[in-house]
Amino acid sequence: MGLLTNEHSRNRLIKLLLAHDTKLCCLSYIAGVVWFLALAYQPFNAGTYISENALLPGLVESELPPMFTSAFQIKDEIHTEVHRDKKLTPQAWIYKKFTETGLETYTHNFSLIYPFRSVKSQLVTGENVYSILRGRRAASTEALVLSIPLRPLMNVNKERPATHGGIALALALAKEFKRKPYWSKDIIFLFTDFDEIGTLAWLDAYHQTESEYIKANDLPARSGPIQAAVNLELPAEDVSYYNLLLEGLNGQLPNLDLVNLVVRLCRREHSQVAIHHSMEKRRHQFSDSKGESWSDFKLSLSTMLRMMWYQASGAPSGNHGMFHKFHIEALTVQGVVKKKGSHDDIITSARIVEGVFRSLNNLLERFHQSFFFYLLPSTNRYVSIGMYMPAFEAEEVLDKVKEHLQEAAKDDEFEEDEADVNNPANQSVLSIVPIVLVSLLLAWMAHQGPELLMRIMPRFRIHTEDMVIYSMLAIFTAALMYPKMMIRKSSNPFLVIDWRLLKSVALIGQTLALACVALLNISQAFFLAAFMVPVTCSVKPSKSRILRWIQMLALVMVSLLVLMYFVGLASAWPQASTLDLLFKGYANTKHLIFLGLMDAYLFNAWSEMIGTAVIFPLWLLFWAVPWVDPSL
Amino acid sequence: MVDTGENNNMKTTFIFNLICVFSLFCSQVGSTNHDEQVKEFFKSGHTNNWAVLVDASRFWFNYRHHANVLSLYRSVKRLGIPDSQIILMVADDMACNPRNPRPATVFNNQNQHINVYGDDVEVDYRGYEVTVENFIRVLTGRLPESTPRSKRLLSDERSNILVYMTGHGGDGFLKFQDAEEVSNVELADAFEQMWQKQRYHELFFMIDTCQAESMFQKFYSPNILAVASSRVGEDSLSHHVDPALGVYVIDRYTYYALEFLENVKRGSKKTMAQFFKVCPKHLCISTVSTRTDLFPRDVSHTLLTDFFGSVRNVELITETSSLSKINTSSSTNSAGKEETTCSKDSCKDTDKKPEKFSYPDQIPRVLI
Repeated sequence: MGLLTNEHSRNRLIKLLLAHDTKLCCLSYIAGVVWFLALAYQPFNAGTYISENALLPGLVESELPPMFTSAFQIKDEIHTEVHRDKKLTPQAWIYKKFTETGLETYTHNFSLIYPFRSVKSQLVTGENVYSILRGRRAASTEALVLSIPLRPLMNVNKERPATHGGIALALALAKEFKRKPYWSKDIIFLFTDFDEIGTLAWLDAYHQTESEYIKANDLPARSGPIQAAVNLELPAEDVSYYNLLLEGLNGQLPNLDLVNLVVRLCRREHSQVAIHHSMEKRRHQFSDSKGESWSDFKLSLSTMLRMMWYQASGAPSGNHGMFHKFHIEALTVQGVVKKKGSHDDIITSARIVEGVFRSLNNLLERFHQSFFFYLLPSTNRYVSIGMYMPAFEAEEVLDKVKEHLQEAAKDDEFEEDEADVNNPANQSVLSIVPIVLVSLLLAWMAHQGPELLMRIMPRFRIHTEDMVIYSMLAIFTAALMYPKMMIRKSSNPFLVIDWRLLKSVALIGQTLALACVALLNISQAFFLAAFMVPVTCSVKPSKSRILRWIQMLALVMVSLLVLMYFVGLASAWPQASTLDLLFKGYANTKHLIFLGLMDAYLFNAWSEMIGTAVIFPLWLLFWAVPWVDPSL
Repeated sequence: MVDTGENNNMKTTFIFNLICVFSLFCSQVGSTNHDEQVKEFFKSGHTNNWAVLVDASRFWFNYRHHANVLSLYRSVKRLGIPDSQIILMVADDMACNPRNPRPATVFNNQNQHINVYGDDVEVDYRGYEVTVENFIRVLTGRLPESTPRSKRLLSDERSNILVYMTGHGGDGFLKFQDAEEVSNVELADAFEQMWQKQRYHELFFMIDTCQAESMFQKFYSPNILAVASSRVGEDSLSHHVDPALGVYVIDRYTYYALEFLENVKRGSKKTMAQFFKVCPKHLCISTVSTRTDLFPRDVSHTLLTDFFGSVRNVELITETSSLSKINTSSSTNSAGKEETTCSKDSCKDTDKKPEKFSYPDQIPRVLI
């Protein structure tokens, strides 16, 4: 306490900090980033375990018939069915088959209102099919969902593979499950049209909530609250490994217990399982190698960064992401086909899904035992929120130290020229108010820009994606010039901009914003902090024109649009020539921004809002700093 | 003064007793080695047996605790303790759980030979009735008046009581349901209260839970013998999984204890000392721990059936004792009223002698 109360020693400490502030800031930033990345190193993270007692994973033996011929038959049938018309999805066929099985089956219609007015027909309609298997001895008070996206053959690509294996599996399992007396929860088999949109429409209808752009009909039948959901994307071919997709809307993740459960049951069937296609060497699963070698670290770091990359976008990586919005734990199991190596046929997949559902059936309450905030460096290691938060704070502490130092430096100056009556504190506060207000106004414009543009768009004949990025660019370039106007106007000596105060306010804002984002979506906050913090902390007015230009360039580099362009470049990375890369990068950026906007409209994703309404005004405050005349 | 009718009655009972004892001696005379055993046989000094069996945990994944307690229930019933003298407390209903692939059954072995939830299970306290309060009330006899006799522990100072508990425990407590726990101090005090209220003669406490030893460490009342499945700091483990049910079906200690009990017949001469050795460390993984310092008898001479069975002992009375007729109705009636039903002699007797304590509710009239 002496440190805080003793004025003399406190000043000494502040002076010491002031003397070394740059070194300290650099040190804490580097330490933070290194610490964060080092968490992927196996000795620094922890092994996963199942903390929910009720799950009892893998204790029960499979009750599926050993040959399971019906699954193969259904697979053949669906093959002929989908090849009849490659543009259509087989809702009618699924409806017929499930009704024949004796389950209550329903269709659910929804329509999507396209948020931009650039296309003529704004209404797109879709149809979901779902079927409820009622638990015989339970009261229909709880439900589990097995969801399968329906994709017409012509729209199938690498990111959205065909799911016919999943449809066949669901049908075959429904027949088997129906005979069993042990279901304590209803099982809903859900087939969704248009991926996430169909899923959200169904979930909205199930919970009787409404979306602005997705209009769903009411459901004819329901079950109880949904406890967990598994989204299955299995191709018709035999799969080489199972890939798990976890990232949901706004970086939400399913409870770690659900992930561990699926991983463990895949391992039990001796199948390969991966996160983001990063395969661990087989020996890890069986020998107790400590994973301390450099190559092991590289592998787990790349896995963790890939997960963070997806999470940072705030967009769902699969249909499961929509369930997170309703606090339903969900993940996607994707079957990946490769020509080489061993293959698992549909029976293995069936056993895994059966095992997962029997474990989920044992649940007594919602998933709550394990972590909701975590990062995975591999399928059997985890970094929990308690481990990554200190590292992130160390990276960001720089901000806080710096902002305190700014304040302290200012105080010192006041003490020095206390006699100067022309420079009272309240005036300097007043001087930065216009800058703050203008940057907030610009942020509002950036946030509302697309909405405003939508109204005038049909008059121009421009592609929607282009329209969005042009509007963004327009606002951005307009914003670049605002300090010039502000600073010219304040030539009045009583309204000289106190750049130290301005920077302090901006740093406080940045710290608060990043800390808040870190609690919701750690990856987004990490990447933002990693790029922005070193630049924003080091800006200050300079007399040298070159130094000033360098600072401005650095600031432009960490502005949101340029960062988005880097993301676009990274996603387009291996290209034949540099020019190709630049163009493809631009195209990708355009697409990404458009998708971000669509997510914001359709699913209420926050990324677009965080970018335009939180990060952009903060950046504008920093942007004004190098413009100030340092002599004042 | 004894009237002639009663005298006759006395005589016949005395003769009957003599015959019994004589025949017993006759059967044992051939082998003189058994004399000592016969001595031990009479030493117990109890006249009736009771059992309180408690499964304190609920939920499907605790199936094994349910199976534990039902298996033990089955064993003590087989060894002769009737349902009327067993208080069975089961916190959940596994047989009717919708997750149970074999509805209406509970098995304690993956072979599924014995359905321990058979046709004749009499559960006294079930589901949410299994609380610490009810458990302590049953032990100490402080139940509400409306409680039926089948749900009461109607033991007396000549009763041997078996108390078996299973569930999830820690150092110094056993969890009941998911909400509360009974501590070892509470349990020790409850037993002391039982002793002071003369509710038991000897008590055998058996517990299968993690850190089970801690539950009997605080006992201080006499005549208590205790065994626990694990030491403080140790976990008690389950024995095996039934892959058809998908749950652990029985705990290790109870499994081996039952294996031993299966070979015990009603007239068995197996002793408690043998019973204490049923689960050595390599089988149980936890260390089975016992407490004998409160128990005056030698455990190697104490019969297992003193607690697990219901063997009626016959005692030899050497001197002639005169039994006076206890007129219960007059003692309960108000003092001012004249009794018209009694004869002159008996009325005089009751007036002269001080009132005796009696158990009008518990001892059937026929015996008096």
